[in-house]
Amino acid sequence: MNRQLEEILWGVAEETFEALAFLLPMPEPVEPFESSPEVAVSVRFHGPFDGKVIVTVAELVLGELACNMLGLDDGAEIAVDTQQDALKELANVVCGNILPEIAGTTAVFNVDAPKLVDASAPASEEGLSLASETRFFLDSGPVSVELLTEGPIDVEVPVTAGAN
Amino acid sequence: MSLNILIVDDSAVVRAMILKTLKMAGIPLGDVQQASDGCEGLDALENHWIDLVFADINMPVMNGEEMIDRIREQPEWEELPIIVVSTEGSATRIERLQRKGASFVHKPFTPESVQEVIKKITGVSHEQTA
Repeated sequence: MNRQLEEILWGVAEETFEALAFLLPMPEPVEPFESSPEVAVSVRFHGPFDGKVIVTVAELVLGELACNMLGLDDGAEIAVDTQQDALKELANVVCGNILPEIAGTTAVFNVDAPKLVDASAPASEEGLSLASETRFFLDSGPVSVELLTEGPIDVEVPVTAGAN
Repeated sequence: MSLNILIVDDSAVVRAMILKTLKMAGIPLGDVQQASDGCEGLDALENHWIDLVFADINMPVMNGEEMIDRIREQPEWEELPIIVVSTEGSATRIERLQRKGASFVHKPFTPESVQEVIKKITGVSHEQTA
């Protein structure tokens, strides 16, 4: 189950970063990157199982992400709010695509609006526990995608899920 | 033929992305209106001639589904092409929207996937501009 979930997270994250932001996630960094503070967005969902997806990126990733998503030239000045909104949208798409991969298209989930969260706050305070995560690298820094749930996931994960 | 479009989404980033994608797809655009919720979307429709609506589902004030219901109540907008752009994965919800006469584009979308849906429902495509 954990391996399947991890494959789903990786498959969805890879497709989303590539399609939305033209960025290729890699399992290892290609070049050393400057370390920077992290920015995190969480998306709460309710349905056959409840939980949230958290996407965390290095602050240096934000500008590149927003630039590509908006189709602006490299180095274009983008307001911090807009950069954060770009990450919120990306997290929204990641969450929206992870859930049917896990629970199938017959499952109905309600997804809340994405929110900026403190990247260092422990999710266990909300009664959530880590079900799976994937970590990878973009040119400008690291990214993590975490799936946290309230209790175990009580659905059968499709065997072919995540194989995209 | 260029299309007058209305983009309804509470995220300015998403509205910009849809517009960027339409340009990348080579869709001939006329007047472009933007709204951040269903109420603003209905106001824009009242005040502008719109050929095609792009709508999100989850929005504050008035969500996309309610906006579609209100649009379909008006005889002059009964056949107005509407494309829902969403991450929605529930087949039941997607079918419900389709029964209301909306087409569906799944996020993440590409210029090709958007172009294909627009051509299907309006007959307008990139080729016609050449």
